[in-house]
Amino acid sequence: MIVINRDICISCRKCEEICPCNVIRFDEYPIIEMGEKCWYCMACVKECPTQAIRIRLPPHIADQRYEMVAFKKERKMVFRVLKRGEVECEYEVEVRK
Amino acid sequence: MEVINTDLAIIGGGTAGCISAYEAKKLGLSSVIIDKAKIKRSGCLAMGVNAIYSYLNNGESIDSYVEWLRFQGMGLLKENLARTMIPLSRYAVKILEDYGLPTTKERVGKFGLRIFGEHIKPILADIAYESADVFEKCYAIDLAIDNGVKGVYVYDLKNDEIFFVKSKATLIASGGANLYKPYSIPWYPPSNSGSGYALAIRAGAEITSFEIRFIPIRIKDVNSPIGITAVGFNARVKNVFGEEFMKKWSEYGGERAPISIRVYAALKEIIEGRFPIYIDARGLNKDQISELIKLYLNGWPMFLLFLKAREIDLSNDMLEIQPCEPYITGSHTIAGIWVDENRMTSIKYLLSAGDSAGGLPLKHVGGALAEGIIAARTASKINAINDYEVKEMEINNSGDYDVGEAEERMYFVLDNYAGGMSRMYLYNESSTLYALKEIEKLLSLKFSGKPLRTFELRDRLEVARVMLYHMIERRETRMPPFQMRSDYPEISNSNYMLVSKLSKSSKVVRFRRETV
Repeated sequence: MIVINRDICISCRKCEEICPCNVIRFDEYPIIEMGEKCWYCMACVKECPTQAIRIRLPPHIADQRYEMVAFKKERKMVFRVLKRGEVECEYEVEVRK
Repeated sequence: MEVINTDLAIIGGGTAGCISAYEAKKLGLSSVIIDKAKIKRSGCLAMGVNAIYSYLNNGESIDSYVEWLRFQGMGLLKENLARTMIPLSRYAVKILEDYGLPTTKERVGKFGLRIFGEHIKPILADIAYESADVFEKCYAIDLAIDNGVKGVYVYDLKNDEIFFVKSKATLIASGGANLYKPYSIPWYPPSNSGSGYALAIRAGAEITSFEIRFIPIRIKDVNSPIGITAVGFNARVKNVFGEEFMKKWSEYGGERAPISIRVYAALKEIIEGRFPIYIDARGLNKDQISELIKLYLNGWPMFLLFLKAREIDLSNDMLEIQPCEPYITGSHTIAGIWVDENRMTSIKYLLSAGDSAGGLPLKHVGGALAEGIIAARTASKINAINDYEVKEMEINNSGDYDVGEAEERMYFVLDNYAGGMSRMYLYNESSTLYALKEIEKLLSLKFSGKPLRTFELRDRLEVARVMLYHMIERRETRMPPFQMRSDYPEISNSNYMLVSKLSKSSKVVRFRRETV
């Protein structure tokens, strides 16, 4: 399930555009329309220019206090796990030559 | 209605579709890609991938590949598809490397190549944008048939209007079908409604082996792949007593048994009560754990969040595994649209490649790439005059049955009566006949809902109907648990592939073809 921080969302609609499952609708801010069609692929998280989107695992499988963000930094993708908003760990992977 | 003219209409901007556009351009063809999402992250590679399987490594040959595949597919494959595919895998990967895909020289298993593929889809999208006219947020709703396929009717989801792509050749590369309700994060993207299968079915094209579903074993709940850990780190699967249960299956090859037998072995442990079952990767050092996590971030990033949120310590804890819900996809089994060695379907000017095309098991990314290239080469040899007259078409999505409720019913029926997880993948004649009756009832309804969701459900139901006919017709257990029946429990080694097509009166006609 994705969580949107409206304080830093700039309403650019990139998340709505990128979602491969067409789950995100837009009405001033992004709205999750059919959560059960979300694939947890993080396309929206990676695309968000302000890191306003975080992802949580489905509630029946894991602790909801944990969240993940990802963003591109030059030729790498940075993945960060948060617990109650505090950074738990961070990894970088090379994504482009 | 607006008409767009092109040489090659490609339905689906995934692995096979994007690379096909590249090859088409190289051969001097114009092409159009139709995708219902944004190709930068659409389809089954949206998250990325950490190895290209079906890759011809140094020291392997076409013959060794065919031999390995025949064993893994338990004898069910079309050898000519394997022989035409595998030599092109290196050429295809080179194209991706030239566009910036980081690869290694590291071999994974017999026919895999380690890559850093988090960005494989953005790279494929770059290739596609340079090679084709790309129409995104557009759904292919029907093929134009007039002595062969003459183009495709497309619904523009943003502007709610229909346009027509008139083409000399049409390639279905829209992937497989997600028909069973996922118990957690699905293995295959929920967006894959099997629309390409449905287009081919409605056009009267031959369909093969829909009864052979794919059921992967995954890390339980997060549904991450286990191959990364099993192959890359030589981890063993164990039951609750710590027994390496694949040893019981030595007559099938033990740890290296065919993929379906490995799933069946795990299922037996669960059914017979020796669960939880695990993959044991304990004892990895800090660097190895970091390396393993990075491999997962390339293809299934939720794995890292899962480790943290479930407080799993990879150096001390085993990972619980479980088979998930079934899927129809030509990526791993032989289910799909029947194609010949040129990836031509049984209908003139209609091609298929990648997960949409059947007959070649364990095709993976390397196979989808190679097939996209073969399809473009075939398209370049087609030189027909297309004088098809475009027909007006209307969409009615204001029926009296809610599309979401109908989908719930479909999921429930398939899960309970057509070998879903809740029945441990088993089915029999009576249960499938009941499922068929219920699916046909749903198909007779008029749905209300957003156009995208009504198209998707219609396509899923049509695919499910054909799958059920196939499941009923194969009166044996050929590949447990992908295809296994409670009324014919003995494992058979019959040598035929089941083929079906829609007759003029919309009946599903079934027949057998010898496996060659």
